[in-house]
Amino acid sequence: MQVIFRTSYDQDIDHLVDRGEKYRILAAIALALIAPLLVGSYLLSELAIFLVYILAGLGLMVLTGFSGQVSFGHAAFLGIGAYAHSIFLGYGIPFVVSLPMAGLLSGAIGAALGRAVSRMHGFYLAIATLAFAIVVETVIGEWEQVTGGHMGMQVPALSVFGLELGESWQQYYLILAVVIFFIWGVANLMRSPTGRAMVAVRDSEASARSLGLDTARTKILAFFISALITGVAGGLLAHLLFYLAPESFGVQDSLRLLLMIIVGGLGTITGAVFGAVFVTVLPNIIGVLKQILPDTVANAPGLEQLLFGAIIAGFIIFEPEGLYGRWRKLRLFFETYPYYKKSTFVRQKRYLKTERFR
Amino acid sequence: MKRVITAFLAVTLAGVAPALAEPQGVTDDKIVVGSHSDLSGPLAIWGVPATNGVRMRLEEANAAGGVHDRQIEFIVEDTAYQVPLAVRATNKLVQRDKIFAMINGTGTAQTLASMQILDKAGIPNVFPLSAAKVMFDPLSPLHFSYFVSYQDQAVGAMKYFNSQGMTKVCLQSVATEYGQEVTEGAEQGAEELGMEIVFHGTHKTTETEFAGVATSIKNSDCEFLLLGTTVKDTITLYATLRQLGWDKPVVGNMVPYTPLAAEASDGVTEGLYLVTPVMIADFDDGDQWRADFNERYREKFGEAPAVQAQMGYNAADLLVMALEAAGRDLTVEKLSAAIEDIKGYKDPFGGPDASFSAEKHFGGDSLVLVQSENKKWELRETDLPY
Repeated sequence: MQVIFRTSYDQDIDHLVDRGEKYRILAAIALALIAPLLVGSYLLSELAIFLVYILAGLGLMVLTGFSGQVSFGHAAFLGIGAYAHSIFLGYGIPFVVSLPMAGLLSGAIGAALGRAVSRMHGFYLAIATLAFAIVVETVIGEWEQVTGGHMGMQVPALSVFGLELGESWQQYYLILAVVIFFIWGVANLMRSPTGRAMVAVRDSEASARSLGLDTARTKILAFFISALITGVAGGLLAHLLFYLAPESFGVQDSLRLLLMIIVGGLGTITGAVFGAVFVTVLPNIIGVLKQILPDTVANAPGLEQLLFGAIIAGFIIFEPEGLYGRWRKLRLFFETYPYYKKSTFVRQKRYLKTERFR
Repeated sequence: MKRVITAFLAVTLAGVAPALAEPQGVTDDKIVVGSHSDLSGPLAIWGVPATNGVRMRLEEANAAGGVHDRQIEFIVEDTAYQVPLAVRATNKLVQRDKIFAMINGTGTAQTLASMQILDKAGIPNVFPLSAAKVMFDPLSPLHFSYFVSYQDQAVGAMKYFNSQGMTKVCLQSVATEYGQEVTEGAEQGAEELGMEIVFHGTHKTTETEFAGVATSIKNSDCEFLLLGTTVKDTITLYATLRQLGWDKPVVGNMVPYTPLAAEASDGVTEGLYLVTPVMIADFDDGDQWRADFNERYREKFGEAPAVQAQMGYNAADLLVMALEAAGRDLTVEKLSAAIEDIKGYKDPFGGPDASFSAEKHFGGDSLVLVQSENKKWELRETDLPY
């Protein structure tokens, strides 16, 4: 096992404490930067969608993973961001202004939702966010003058400072830059007082309040930041989809985001990345499953939702830490062999009895 | 770091050499044709038989020696009826498989998203599995559709009932792009013919309860009901209306036009009218070719050919015709011109003829009116105008 010998106070606030982790992340960034040299334009456009999913998942991670507020309706923010960005672009607002504006609008709506649900927990919160998503989908569908209604709307071409970015590698680098910016931002957030407050609210609201934290404010802030990031992801996604329809941001997409962060590993940034890998290859996995399963099962409608639900349930029961947690355990197993013990990862936190079932 | 990135960009840029002189997907002995369809999602009941139909016709063409000595390679991607997957599928087909043309793209939103990529690459999108007007309007040399649009189907239905002396219409549609298009058609028809829409209701695709809607329709004084609905809601709404004792005509379009809707729960749809640009083939009417088709399809795919299989077959049939006519030196322009030259195409399944021209990029020349009777769709009128 690696023992880190601290020689400076700065080390205490380092993002990455472990040296191996540093190298791995540097390698991942380097790989992402040279990817356009390694793969063709088709794989590159797939990678761009994958990056957008990371960003959307990161947004949900701030809310669910770090602040403990579950959201069954996060695709709504993806939709708000996508539509707002396309509408702003349609009015001739340049990309560099439009994207932050779309993010802020989505964030403001998120904050309003956060204000409304700041006293809700568990099931009630889940239902409230689900209802919110359905309302947003309906509003987008009915607001014909602005959103084009169910006929949908086309997304204006992507151009930054008058330079049209039509090639997939150009879009890829743009998206990569935004994603890395937000990952860095969220990493910073999590070591700031605000981020610590979010984690405190997640772990025990009663304790957080007794420490003098304004829990409602923290939750509203979490909703704001989360919706902002997801909204920006939506704005980027719009350029990859070319054409927006209200059905593209339905309940199933919300579920997919939730699946992503639960499978990836709640409460870690790496979890969002791992989850995005999983969700991107999931259609291929389902395709393979369908060939194995008998025809009557494989062609049944709703199979995909069933699989989504089953995977979420499976991870919650057997590996609440997600893929990233599994990876950490595996690493520790080899690092400390033969002294690995399961209880290392048993959570130390104990709930107040009153907080358990709400 | 910046310099490194710039260097990478320069290298990548150099790699993207333009190769526009030759159309992609055409080699000495092969034409690659792609398709994105719903093979596993909610509309697989449309996508699978339609894809089978296309595959069957293209394999026939290949077995007959191909088109101008070229075999047609057919690549299908599953979208599960999701727009993001349709975009991914199109990216793959265009960039990796290098398709020459896209056929039978399934779903309106999915095809619209896909067309954005195809247009940019100059690849034609022919005969998608959607009768939406946007499939061929605005006019583009790359867009062709086989069907009379949902909008014009609604106009056709309005015209027919207007000719029966009716002027007050109720409209019930689903809250989707398809329902919206039917609504536009109804409004257009009402304006042209001086009719009045006295009631307009919408419902979500997931809704299953229509007592409220049916009561509103009953209480309004319309003379017939126009539907922009899908299969299940059509059946339920119709049954509810008849239970309430409302006995005026109800007319839908091609979407609920399946054997299932006529057979539904012991014929509750008895009397329902549909105006459609296609016809479910009667395989027992003595026509040798149709009987033969039925036989071959069952043998190949292990099920009876659905009406969507006919649509797919006709789409591929038209494409093969156009490829034949375009000649050995195949280009996108020649294909486009060849499709425009198709006049009076006879639907082998007995439906209305199809003609194209430089201004008319959809096939159907007329509509037919069918009615549910004894759990079957019976033909009532042909050559309906729209």
